[in-house]
Amino acid sequence: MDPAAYRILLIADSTIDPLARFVGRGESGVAVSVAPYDQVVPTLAGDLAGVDLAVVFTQPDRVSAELGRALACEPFDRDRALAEFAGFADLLRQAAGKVPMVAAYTWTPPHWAVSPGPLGWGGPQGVQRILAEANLKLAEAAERSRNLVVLDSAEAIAAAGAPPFDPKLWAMGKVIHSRPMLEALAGQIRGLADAVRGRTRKLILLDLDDTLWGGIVGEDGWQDLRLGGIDPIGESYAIFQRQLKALRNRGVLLGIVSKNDEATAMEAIRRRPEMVLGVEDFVGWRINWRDKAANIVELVEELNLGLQSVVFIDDNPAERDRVRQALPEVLVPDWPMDPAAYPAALKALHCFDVVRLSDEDRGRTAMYRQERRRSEALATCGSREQWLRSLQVRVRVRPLDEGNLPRAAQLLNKTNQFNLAARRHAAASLADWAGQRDHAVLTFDVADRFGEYGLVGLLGLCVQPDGTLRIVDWVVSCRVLGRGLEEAMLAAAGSQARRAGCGRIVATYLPTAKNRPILAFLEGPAAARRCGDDFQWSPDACPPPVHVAISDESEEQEGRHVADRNS
Amino acid sequence: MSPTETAEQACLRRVREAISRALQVDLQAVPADAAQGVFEQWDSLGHLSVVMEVEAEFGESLSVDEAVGLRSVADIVNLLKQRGHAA
Repeated sequence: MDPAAYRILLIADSTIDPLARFVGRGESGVAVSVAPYDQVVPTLAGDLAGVDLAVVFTQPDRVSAELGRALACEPFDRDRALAEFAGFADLLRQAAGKVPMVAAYTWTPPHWAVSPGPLGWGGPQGVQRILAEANLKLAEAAERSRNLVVLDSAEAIAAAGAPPFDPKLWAMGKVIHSRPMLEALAGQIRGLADAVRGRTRKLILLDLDDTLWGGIVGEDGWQDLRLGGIDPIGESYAIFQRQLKALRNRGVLLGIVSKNDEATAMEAIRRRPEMVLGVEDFVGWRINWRDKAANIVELVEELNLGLQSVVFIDDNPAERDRVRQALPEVLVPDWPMDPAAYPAALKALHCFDVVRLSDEDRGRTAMYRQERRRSEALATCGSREQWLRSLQVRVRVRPLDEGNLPRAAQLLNKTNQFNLAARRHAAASLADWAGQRDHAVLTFDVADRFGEYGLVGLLGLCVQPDGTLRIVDWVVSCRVLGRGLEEAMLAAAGSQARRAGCGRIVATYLPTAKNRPILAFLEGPAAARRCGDDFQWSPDACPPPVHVAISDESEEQEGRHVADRNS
Repeated sequence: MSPTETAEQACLRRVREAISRALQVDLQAVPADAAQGVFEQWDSLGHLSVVMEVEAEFGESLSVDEAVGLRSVADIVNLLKQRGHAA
């Protein structure tokens, strides 16, 4: 087994082994194993060493014997049933203290239970109602723990699109889930594993004709495209657009790559009243007759993203094949012929799943659109210095705290290019690291006259006994590179070093497949001295860049910064 | 299905492919005379996946009785033949 593999452990009180191959399918660097059958409590209470993600499947009547009585229509005590569920939620929370991520599936009525009919939700004794309350206990436990999440069984049941239980497999070997259900569960688990590992896709590039609307705009004209209205085909495209809009509101970027005349296509987007998506919803587009793979590369470069962030959706199998061949990093899902099936196809991808949402996520499209205006400003400005001054960059330095932790962890885990060591930390372990003696994590929020970028820089610092301030993590989001934040961060490290009485600052570059951009900076004028992959500065030789206004709040808060060593 | 492949050969090939997917082994590792117990990965747990994949491949739904009774590639092919898959 690959020692660097991401290790997923499936824990269940039924036979869950058949799920392992579905979770592992097509996923590189993942190793899936299965805990001993029906050993849920001992497994969760055990040491769980080496597990990155534990996924827990339980049957409600096995968690709560009292609920078992309810399902058998025997007299039962609902308070006791709920206490049993609460106790299990607590056990999950404790397990989450030992594993980077624990995911628990919500409870649904077991397949053998008789239908309660209207009694299920009728009054406090209704079993459906008790299960809803039990699931709420699960959600509350997850809310109190940074690394416990709840996965929704009902969502998987809906996605399966077929009976989720297979009574035959249960009778033969205590397997609960049917094959379509296993596929749906595997999709959710892979989505979570990708989200935790910072592999969430960020950009959807869309074809137009027969993808975003029905018909060919260049032939039919924008008035006759099938979109919305009382037309069932048009209605299907409208639903698909609503989904895309929702993803955009959640921080996923949308772009267009289409073989069309640009003016014709844009006119359709602007003038067709049933368009759910407007021009402002797209961060960029390439609408021309060139090769789509070349267009994708160009557009992705313009947006400062990597190809591994991209999903390409096109109804034309030949275009999909071309992009798949040319750009294997781009996710090109098979796409259904029937537009009514588009929403389910998009849902099944799970590649946009995130564990938590930050304010930056919600405002991402706006930020990228500001970025376009900034680049236009650069084009109209004479020198680079002039442009930098005109930007009026403001940097706010803050220590890591509860409020900025989710975004800081997200930045650390998602950033590949300007990242010194590409160290990955779940939020909880980043907080632990920062809380250790002689450690500090500083976060950097940036704004300029075009708007706010949010939290886009992070420094992980450590004071060594020999009087060196070591920069352990140095991360900058690529969308603010080259605006002086890098130098401002070095200056912030300089003041931390002076405060801690350190005579020098050292950063060690750990090469990865993608982090050359930080090396380019380190090798540039900012580096004082280089020794192998070590870069050294004197704390007094790190002046903040003149065009950047820095407000340093890292000194105001007690108990976080590295200078505490001396206090 | 290649032009020279008979319907029965095609059925046999698809059964072997389904088993190779279910047990996560190479197709070559699933001989036409493979059987439960004799073939290492095809234990009782593996059999559940074999049933699942055969059903999915042929769009069939087997009864408990049928699923339990299948012991070999030949058994599966015979059952599918009865249901008109090798014709």
